[in-house]
Amino acid sequence: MKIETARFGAIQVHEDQKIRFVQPIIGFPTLMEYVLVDTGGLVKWLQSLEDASVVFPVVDPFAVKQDYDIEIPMSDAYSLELKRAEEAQVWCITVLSSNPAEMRANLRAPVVLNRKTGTAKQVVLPDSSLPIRYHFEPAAIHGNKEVAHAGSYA
Amino acid sequence: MLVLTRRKGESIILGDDVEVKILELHGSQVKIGVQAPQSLSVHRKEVYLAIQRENKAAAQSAGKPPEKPETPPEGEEPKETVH
Repeated sequence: MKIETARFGAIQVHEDQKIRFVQPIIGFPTLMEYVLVDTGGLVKWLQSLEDASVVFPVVDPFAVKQDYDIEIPMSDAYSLELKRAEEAQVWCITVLSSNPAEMRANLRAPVVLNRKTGTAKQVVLPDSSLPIRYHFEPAAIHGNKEVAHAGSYA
Repeated sequence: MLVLTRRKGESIILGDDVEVKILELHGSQVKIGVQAPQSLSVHRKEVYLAIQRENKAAAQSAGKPPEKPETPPEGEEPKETVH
């Protein structure tokens, strides 16, 4: 199917690329279907299939914080039908900024995807030491070829 | 809003399978136990609101022209008190 998006224009989405949320992303209660748009950089994009203007920048938390180590609560693993850790893909919603010092990712409430089923959920982890605002400098990340400001993602 | 008076050790039942129990009282603090099905998410409100704010800031930052600087964060996640 062809989807119109505000950021990327018209994009082609195959049925098996659709990500279905079992519970909506907090604050966006009507949107249940997304697709991950990979533009090749550190930041990838979780684009709503139901609202062209809604897109979340996301990062692989292990890229921004190498010792990121989480345990997905049983109840969330259950609702996503996750049986093994390898089935899960974890993304952290990120706030972009032209000021690299203000780039931040939410490590407390990652989006967890079951790669096999294509279902996902924003999981609120019980560990309160995980920051909701984790600041990172894109330029400092190994293997990131992009320049250190959000302008390069546009 | 429904208002109920409960004593320590007493509960209220929401629907058929959610129980909210008053476990302890310490001055202005109340310790609450929630027994609910695994499919029901239970959050501290300030954490929930902080995540909601951050999600909205993220979505907004993706829609904005990159030249425009972000608005500074409005204070960190509130410190969690003992329930």
